[in-house]
Amino acid sequence: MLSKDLLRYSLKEGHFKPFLLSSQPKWLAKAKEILDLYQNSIGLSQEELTESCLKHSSSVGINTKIIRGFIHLLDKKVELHEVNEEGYQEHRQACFEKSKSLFQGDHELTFKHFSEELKSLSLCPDYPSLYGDLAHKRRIKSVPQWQSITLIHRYNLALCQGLIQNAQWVHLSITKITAKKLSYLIRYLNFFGLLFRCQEQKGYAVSLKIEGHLTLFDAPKKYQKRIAALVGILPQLDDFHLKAELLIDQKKALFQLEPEQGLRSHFQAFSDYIPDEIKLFAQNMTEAMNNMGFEPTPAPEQTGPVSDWVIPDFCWQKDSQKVYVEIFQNNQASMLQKRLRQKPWKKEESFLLIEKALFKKMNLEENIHLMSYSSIPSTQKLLKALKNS
Amino acid sequence: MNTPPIFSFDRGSLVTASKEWNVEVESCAGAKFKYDERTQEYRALAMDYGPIVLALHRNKIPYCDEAKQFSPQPFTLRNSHPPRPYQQEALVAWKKAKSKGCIILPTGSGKSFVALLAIEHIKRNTLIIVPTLDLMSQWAVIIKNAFGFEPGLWGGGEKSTAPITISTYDSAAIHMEHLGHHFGLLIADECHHLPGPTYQWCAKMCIAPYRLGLSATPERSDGGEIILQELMGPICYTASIQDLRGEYLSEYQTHQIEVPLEEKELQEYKDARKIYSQFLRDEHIDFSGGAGSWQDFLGICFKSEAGRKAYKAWRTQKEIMRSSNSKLQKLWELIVQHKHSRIIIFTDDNATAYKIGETFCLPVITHQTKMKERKAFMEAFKDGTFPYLVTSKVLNEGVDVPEANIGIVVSGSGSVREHVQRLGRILRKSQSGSALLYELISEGTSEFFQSKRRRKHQAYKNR
Repeated sequence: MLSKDLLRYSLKEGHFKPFLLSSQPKWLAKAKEILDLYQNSIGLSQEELTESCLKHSSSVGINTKIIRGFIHLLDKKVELHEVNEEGYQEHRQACFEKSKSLFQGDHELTFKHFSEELKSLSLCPDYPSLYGDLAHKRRIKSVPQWQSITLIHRYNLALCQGLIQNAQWVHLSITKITAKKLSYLIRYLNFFGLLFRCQEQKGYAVSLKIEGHLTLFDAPKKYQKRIAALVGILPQLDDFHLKAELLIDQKKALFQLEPEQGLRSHFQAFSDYIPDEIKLFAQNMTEAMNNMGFEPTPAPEQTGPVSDWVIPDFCWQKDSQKVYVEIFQNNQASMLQKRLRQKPWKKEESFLLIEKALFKKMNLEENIHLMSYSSIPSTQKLLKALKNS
Repeated sequence: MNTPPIFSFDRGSLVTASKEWNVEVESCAGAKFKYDERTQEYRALAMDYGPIVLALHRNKIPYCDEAKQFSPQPFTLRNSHPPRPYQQEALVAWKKAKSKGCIILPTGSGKSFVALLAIEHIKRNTLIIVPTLDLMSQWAVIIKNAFGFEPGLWGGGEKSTAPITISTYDSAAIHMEHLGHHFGLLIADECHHLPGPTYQWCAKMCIAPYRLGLSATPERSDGGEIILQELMGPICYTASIQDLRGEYLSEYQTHQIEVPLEEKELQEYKDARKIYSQFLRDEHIDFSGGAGSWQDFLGICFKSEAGRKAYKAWRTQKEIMRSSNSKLQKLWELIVQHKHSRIIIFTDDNATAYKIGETFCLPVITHQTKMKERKAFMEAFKDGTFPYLVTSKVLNEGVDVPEANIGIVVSGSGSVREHVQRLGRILRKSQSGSALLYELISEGTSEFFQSKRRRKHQAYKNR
């Protein structure tokens, strides 16, 4: 996301509007010019490359903020040549010795002669400067191979994220979402330690106020970065409307994002924010369930208020027999507490797997529907419970 | 009969389910809680754990505490020496403040030892938060020597928790959300950093009922001292450099040296200054409390060719002021003059630090220095193998350089706190007698005003 000094926006009629770059030939050409400078920068230092990009921007009259935004995104993907750090350290040590004996020796050298003497003593072709291994002096080895349009899309997304970082509050409305997709969204929010408050709901049209646990105590800043990261996955929702109130340079105004603005996401699918151990469990369990004649099935339809929805992580069906499995990790205490107060489907169909530390913390007792796991949820334990139920 | 409420820790807060909430809890601790409709729980800041539990206990209201994950620990100081009188007074004052408060002692007077005494007294899992990785390493050695075990570390790629854990402020701000219930005592070293908008959550998300803030310079320009007292407790003991110098701190002198610029540099400085000042006038930017801020200046700079020139001119004049040839020569003369002393050289920026390092082949410590080399440089400096060290800002605070008795400020900001902290680096009592702090100022430049601003402290009066 772009830092505050790189944000480009207008403030009109109570709204902040981002200066998004369009995919018109003019901008594609500008992006290409910068990408070309990067392509030709192999062997330069990052400092030199930045300098040449800024020089270019002033010669062709592009707003420096845009160029610096491009640089910000590209620099993160630049790979630098490895340097012999140990060699540099040994070289420095040797130079320090020489310097010390020169400083402490008895001589009548002037400053000029002292400097020259020291320079000649520390000269070494392998190490052109004493601190040549510092990142800003290292040479560029490879640069990202992006198309112009990729750079523009990434820039636009980073700009919106940068703006959202100044949000006082954020509402996300989705007019059409499936239960499964919503469950992924809620899991994603939980993954990043965020909560939501349902503002409005009509069937599958929901409006969520995205917050953090401590937002109650006037801590909007604490969660701004996490909420801004959410912007990266918005384009993956087919239909969304994000509304926020931003406070920038003591000016407060609204900010809106909608699919029409053409944001593109390069982020991994938000449904993939599932820890590896759960993925492994899911893979093994699906295989075992298939062997028993069960097929994966969509999450059951929900009708009540979204804050009361219970959406299982995994659902399988064989004829009229259904199996719902929910997994709760250690950091999902409040979600589990809430879940234990709800009973939306038949008990015999529902299995809750809870990470051991959380299980212990909540003083729960094991039974065939309530099981603990220590590192990876056990398929065998679950299959045994299934058979017994 | 009410079911006793169960308190648990949830992402930096203390929660209890709404069904367990009752009138008795409401009457004695209700003010600290807010109802959270998102999770249907009552939620309070973790830092209110102490007062809440105390209130319930006093009123004999039953409750179940599932939040607390700390326990009594057999902490006993090894090879302890008796505290100095002022250290003893500070500890007594802190205990009297119900083991929650800040102690203000000058650098080099042994704040860490007071903290060790506090840890031994409380005997509960402890978290020490520090502003830099250097300080974290230093504290790790102190804890190991004092209690005989390795502390846990959060920061610099480390994440291990032990009965005593040391963390940087940055790491604590991240991890406290998950681990804030594991500590009974929270110690904030250089606690003047704590009121910052991000760092204050380190203290808010921790349940530790016992808290100790340590600083030499608690004053903040934004008035954050009040927030500090809310987070860590009141200032319960203060001693100044003047109170302790002579007997417990080195005697010291400070020298301001105005260094004239070489003719060519002076001309270059004047030219750059002219372009920069003219641009400020043209754009009606006034940094002295008038219209415009540094951000405005930057914003305008990048909009036009004239702006870019002004920005370049600003950088040029700054660079000349900070590291002119004459300054380098004067620095060389001072090193030669004190060649058998331990000399620590401070700069305002990394570029100047590395320029000095490259010119004189001296070790430089900045945030870019790798941990291994940083440790080697510090050890070489401490044992005298290499008695000169250049640094920008990372050694300004806290880091113990006991043998340093000469400080040379080649460049610095206008911050009083920074300047006092830098002076503190050379005040630790050692056998080398009086300490000297030199301040190099480029004559006829705006550095003069910067120097004037940063010397507005008692420690520099009549010196």
